[in-house]
Formats: sequence, C-alpha cells, structure tokens
Amino acid sequence: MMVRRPALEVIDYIRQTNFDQLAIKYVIYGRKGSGKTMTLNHIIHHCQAAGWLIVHIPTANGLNLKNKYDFIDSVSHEGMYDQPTSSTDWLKQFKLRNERFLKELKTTEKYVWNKRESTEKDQPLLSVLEQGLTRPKNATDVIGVLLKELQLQSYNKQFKMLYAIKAVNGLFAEETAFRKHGGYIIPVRELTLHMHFRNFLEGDWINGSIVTTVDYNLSYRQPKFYYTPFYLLGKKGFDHMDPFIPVFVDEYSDKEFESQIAYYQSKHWIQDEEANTEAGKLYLKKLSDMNPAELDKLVSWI
Amino acid sequence: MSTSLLKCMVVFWCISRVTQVRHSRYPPTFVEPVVKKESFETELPFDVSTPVKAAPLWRTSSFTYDPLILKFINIIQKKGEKDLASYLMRKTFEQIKLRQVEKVNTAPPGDLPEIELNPKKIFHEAIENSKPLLGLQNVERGGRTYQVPTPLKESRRRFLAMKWLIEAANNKEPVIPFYQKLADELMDAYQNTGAVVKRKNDLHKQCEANRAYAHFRWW
Amino acid sequence: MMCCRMAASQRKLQQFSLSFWSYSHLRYQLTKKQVCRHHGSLVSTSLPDVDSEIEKVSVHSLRGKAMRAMQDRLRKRHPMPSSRENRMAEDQDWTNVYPTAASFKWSAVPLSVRMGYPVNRGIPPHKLGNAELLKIPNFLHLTPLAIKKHCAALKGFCTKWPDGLNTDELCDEHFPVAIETSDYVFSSPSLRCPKARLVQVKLKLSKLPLDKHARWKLIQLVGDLYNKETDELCISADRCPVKQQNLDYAMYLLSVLFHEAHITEPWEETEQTEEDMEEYTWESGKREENLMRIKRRMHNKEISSAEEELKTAYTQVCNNKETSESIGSYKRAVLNLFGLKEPAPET
Repeated sequence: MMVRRPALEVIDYIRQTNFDQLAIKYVIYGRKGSGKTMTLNHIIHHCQAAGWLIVHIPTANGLNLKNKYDFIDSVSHEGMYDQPTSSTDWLKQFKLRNERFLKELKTTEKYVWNKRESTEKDQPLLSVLEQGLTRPKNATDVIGVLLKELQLQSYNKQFKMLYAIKAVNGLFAEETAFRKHGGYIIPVRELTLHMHFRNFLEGDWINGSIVTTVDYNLSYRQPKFYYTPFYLLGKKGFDHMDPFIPVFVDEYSDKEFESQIAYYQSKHWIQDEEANTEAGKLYLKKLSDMNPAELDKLVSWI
Repeated sequence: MSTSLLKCMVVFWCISRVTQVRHSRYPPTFVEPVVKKESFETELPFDVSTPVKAAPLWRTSSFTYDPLILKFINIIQKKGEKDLASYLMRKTFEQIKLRQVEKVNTAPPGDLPEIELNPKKIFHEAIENSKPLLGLQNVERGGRTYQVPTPLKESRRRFLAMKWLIEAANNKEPVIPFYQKLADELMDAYQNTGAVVKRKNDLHKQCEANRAYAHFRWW
Repeated sequence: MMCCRMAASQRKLQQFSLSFWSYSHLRYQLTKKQVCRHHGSLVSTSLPDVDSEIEKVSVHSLRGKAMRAMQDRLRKRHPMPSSRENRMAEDQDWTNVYPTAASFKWSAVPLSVRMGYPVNRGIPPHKLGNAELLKIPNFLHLTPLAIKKHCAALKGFCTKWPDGLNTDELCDEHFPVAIETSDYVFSSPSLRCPKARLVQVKLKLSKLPLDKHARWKLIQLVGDLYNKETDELCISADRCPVKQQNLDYAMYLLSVLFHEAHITEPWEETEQTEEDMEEYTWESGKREENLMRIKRRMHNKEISSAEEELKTAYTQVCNNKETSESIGSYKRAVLNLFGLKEPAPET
C-alpha cells in the first residue's frame, strides 16, 4: 500500500501542531481522480490508529443530493428543515466509530426533546445519541447537540478529535435536490443539518484538526472548470474556512507510477502478458496520463 | 491436417470475417492496413505500389485490442449505447479477475492449484466451449415442418454462443448487476458447466434425435 | 528539361489555336450565310482543320473575281502577328499594362499559367481562353512599383507627421482619447451610408485623473463599456443622424461620467456591501474575527509579519485567477501563522 506525499505532509503537520491552538483546517484539492479521497482516508486511518475521536462526513455534497424526499419542518429552528434519514444514518456510523468516547463523555446541561422526553445533565453522550436513533424526528437536533458538546468539552483536553469532510464545498452550495410540493427548491442555507456541520467547521474548538477535500466532480449544478479551493468553495465558503492550509494532490510522479504498477503486479491484478512488458507499461502511462483513477480503470479489466 | 492447424485456420477465418468483405467500398486489390509497430522493423521495405485500406477507427496496436471482445460488445449493445456495453464488458472482466485472484489468495500455501487468472483467456475459452457444432433448420416437406440438423457456419456458431451467454445472464435475478451475472455465466462456460453448455448439449441431442430427417437437407 | 519540352509544346499549341482564331475572324467578312454555317467552329476547343473548312464553302458563293481573290488569300495562310505577350519588351513598364484592377487577360500576361480541372489524367488547361482564370481575383495591378507610384502621387496631399510622436506609447501619452469613425464610398442612389454616423470614443482609465472612489464609481456607472483587461473605456454613440452630433454626444457623456464619478452620495458610505466592491479586501467580511479568535487562543496581541503576509496572500487569491503560485503563497502564510514547517521537497 502506497501512502502518497500529500497524506504524509498533512500527517506531518498534525504531528507538529501545538494542540493548544484552535483546530487547524486543511483543504485537500486536486484534479478529478488524483487521489484526494484516498489521501483523506489515509489521514483518517492515521488518527484512528492514534486513538482520536473521528467526526467524519463521507460526502458533504451527498447530504444535499441523497434521500431527496427526506425532509421535515425543523423542530427547533423555525423556517428550516431537518433530514431524519440522513441524520440517523450519520449517527449510526458515528456511534460505530466512537462508542468508547460517547460512553465516557457526559452532557453539560439538560436537553428537553419534547414534553415527555429529556436528557438530564451528567448523562453519557451515548444516551443523547440513542435518543436520535429511537426518535428520528430529533436526529438532526441530536447531531447539533453532540457537536456542541464536543466543541465545549474539547477544552477539557480529554480527547483528540479529527473532523474529516469529503467534498466540503457541498456545505456552501446554493441548491439542493430537495423540492417541496409546489416546486420550491430548498436551499442549503435552510437545512439544519448543514448548519450544524458548518458551525462545527468554524473551528472554535481545540485539541484537534479539520481535514477536508473540495471536489469539483461532486459539486451540484456548478460549472466544472477549475478544481481550485477558492473557485469551489466560493467567497462565502472561503471566508468561513479562512485561514486554512491548502494541500495539492497531484497526479502520480514517475516513481509513484512505478511502485503502483509493482503493487498491482504483486496482487496479480495485471494479467495481460503484453501489459506486463515495458512497452505495455508505457502504454498504460500514456493512456492514463498518470492519473490514479484512470490507471485503476484501465488496469481493472486487463 | 492436424487439429491445431485446423483451429488456426478457423481462428484466422473468424478474425478476417470481422472486417467487411461483401459490399466493401474497396476493390479486391486493396490490402489490410498494418497497425503493429514491430512490422515496420520486420516487414520493411513495404511494396509502396499496393493500395492499402484506411484503418478502421476501432483498430489499435494496443494489447487491449481483441476482435472477439469487440464483437461481444456489439452483441451486448442496445440502442447504440456502446459506451454502456463496453463498460459492462470491462466490469465483467474485472469480476472474473476478482474471483480468480480471490481463489489464489485464499488457497492454502504450498499446493497452489493451476488457476487461470487472465480474464481474456477465460472469455475466449468460454466462448469456444459454448459454440454448438450442429444446428436445426426448419424445412417444409408435404405440408409438415421438419427440424433438420445442419452444420453451422463459423460465424453462426460464434453468434449463437454469444447470444446464449447474454440470454442466460439476462434470465437470472434482476436485482444482481448484469456484469456479475455475465461473469457467472462465463465462469460456468469456462468450466464446461452451466446453462449455456447445457443448452448446447440439448441442441446436440435434438440434432441426434432428428438425424432421420437429415436427408431433407438436400433440397 | 521536362519543363522546357512542355513549354515548347504549349507554344506550338498556342500558335495553332491563334492562327485558327485569326482565320475565323477573317471569315466574318464572308456572307452572312457562311458565317452562320461555320459559327459552331468558333466555340470548338479542338484544333481546326482549316483546309476542310474552306472546302466546305458552297461553290455558288464563290462568284466574282473579288471572291476568288479572297479565297486565294485565305489559301495563302499569311502568318498572323504573334500575340501581345510575345511582343512585350523585357523592360516595359508593367504599371501601364495593368494600371488598375482588371480581370485576367491571357494575352497581356506573359506567364504560362494553367488552371482548372485536369481531364483524363492530363494537366490543367492552358490560360488561353480559360474561364477559370477570369473567375479568381488577381493582384496584377498591385505590384510594388505600382504601389510606390501611387504613394508618390498621394504624397502631395498629406501633411507632415508631427515630430516627437515616433512610438505608439508617445502617441497614447499625448493623445489619450482615440476617436474612431468610418467613411463609406459606394454606388447607390444616396451618398450617405447609415453606418457612417457611428462614433467610438476610447480611452484608458489610467489616463483620467481619478481617485480610488471615483474610479470605482465610474466603473460601476459604465458597466460593460469598461474592459478590465485592457483598462479601456469605450463609448460608442449612434443615436443622432449625423456624425458630428454623435461625436458631441459621446464627448458630453464622457465629461458627465467624469464629473459624476467624483460625487459621493451619502448612501454610498452606509449601504455598500461586499458584492458592490471592485475587489475583495481583508477588512470586509469576517476574516478579522476568525483571525482574532485564533490569536486570542495563542495569547498573541500584536500584528506579526505572518499576519501581514496572510493579508496580501489573501487578496491575491481572492481577486486574481488562482494559480499554483498564489495558492502556494497563501499556504506559506498560513503555515507561518500557525508556526508549522513545510516538509522538505522530494529528492
């Protein structure tokens, strides 16, 4: 397995970081298929192995595209919308990853969900999460509460936290795929789930890092010209993230290409006799233009 | 004539049939273009006076070029969606390779069985195994229709094999992706089992049963 | 060698057809009846058989002494004068041959030009009577000598180019306002072309004495008329019927815009948002707040050099097209701010 330079660079920064400061933001950018997501995954793996708490959004852009009939009027925020299904899905994976921390951490105040149900002070955060899983109506609010608690309790320095987002430009997009009866398209600014994630992204907490990617392939209804962070995040998103550290993921270098081919060969993945020759390698190199995803696509069937 | 030579000739004929012969826009004096780079080193000097056909778009010098695969893609294709058809073909090959590599990786160390990993070879073998030798033809005699066993042309045999494989894959559960089902079928045919080989054998049996009508073939 | 032979055969061919043409010309002096009969041979492109043509003439028409004399003259086949191109002197004045633009005339051009579709694997047809050569435009009147003569003739009507305006930069400096108009000459019942009234006034905004606000406001006022890449303002006027009126209007518009740009309305100071600004600056928006939060956490109150660097890098990234350099400088600024070290480049 090859961990490429951008991932090592960010891991190196994380090692250098003075965790007394506010969380530092990283934005990974690059062309389509150049390995942004793999870089993010390597960083997540590093932090997970180091015993960090992981707050991970698999694709932020997917939140405003998938489950497009899944919205209800918000319980706590008037004029906004909750996403119960997406929220419960997210809570499930969050619980699976961080059950250990959720049992240890306690709530700092009392949360009233409705007339009968409430969570007392000094209860484990897991009980808050369970509330979201049992009552999907409260799921989005539960996410808000969890993120707020994590933000507050990060100052106690009990745990380290990684906030990882793929396609973070989805949080700053305009349109969604959600269409109300009558043709009203719900904008991103009216979704509470996005609001909670955006607030957490402000980075007003310590003892952790924020690693994100921007993805032009996933941006919804946006002209796909550039892959650069300012273009994709927009003015609003850029100001929200500022100051962040941009990390560029380039196509394979010659050395990386060679080692990747060697990896494929070691796993018996390139079977064609001609592809295993030098001429075949050159052919793959030229045809994929050293793009990792293109190379993977090419190699997948020969 | 040895069988291997016969096979060679058949393969050669089969490949040459891929290019257009009837209604060709070229006179018979035109020769096929040469695309392999090595031929410039081995076959020089070329006879410049011989007219050469224009190379077709899909003909490349790369190792990914295979006329049989292109034929199969054309038969999978519906409504001119060639991109989709080639995507399905690529995914099928990937599936086959995945399964075979998994077998190699999970096999106990020491006694590694002979496992074919190259999906292209498996595909060729599967097509070869699915080809029927004989077919049935309807012949009307005295107001009755008889199913007369007849030998088939190579192109027909190839077509039937491909069509049966695709039909067999399509007849399976609709929830499973097509490429997985097709990979199943190809693997079965490669091992000389499965629905397609059974269908071939059924046809052979039917031909055997109808051998009494064979004399109707001379009409 | 080949060329020479071809040229010789061409010349022979040309002489044959020439003699044919001259004979047919003579034959027009015959009776009308005969002319009508042989008219077809005029358009034939094959070489004529003159003898047989003459024998075809009716016996009844050959009456009288004069007629017979004519016949004799025809039989004698006087050599015809060679064509004009062969008689041209080598040092002739070409501008007299083609004084103005004229269509191609084979006898006036001493070049063995060929043009057209080669029939029966042959070569393109010769220039002689070749309609293809008539179709295409030629520039035989535009020889360097002709142009020189033309310029010499025009020189008397020109004024002297002012001293000290030798380069374009100097011209732009001394005459910043450029006025573009067009005159049209054409043959129609009216001499006045409607397009002639259009006036374009162009100038660079940097040439105008504008302060920051006035420049911004002028750009807001003119909208699309200002080209950001060339820093050029282009006012075009075509609403009045006469050119002079349009020019006056354009200049009036320019002065009004200039003076209006210098006025600051009271609402401009209070109701301006970030979208109205010409370019993003550090002060607008919530960047200061973000930075303050970070600094408060770092217990750092004074403005460090990293902060200044960040501000310049930020305006660079936001206001220009993103390049790897601008993003790189932004990255370096942020790394400095957080006290992180970039890993050494790959060896």
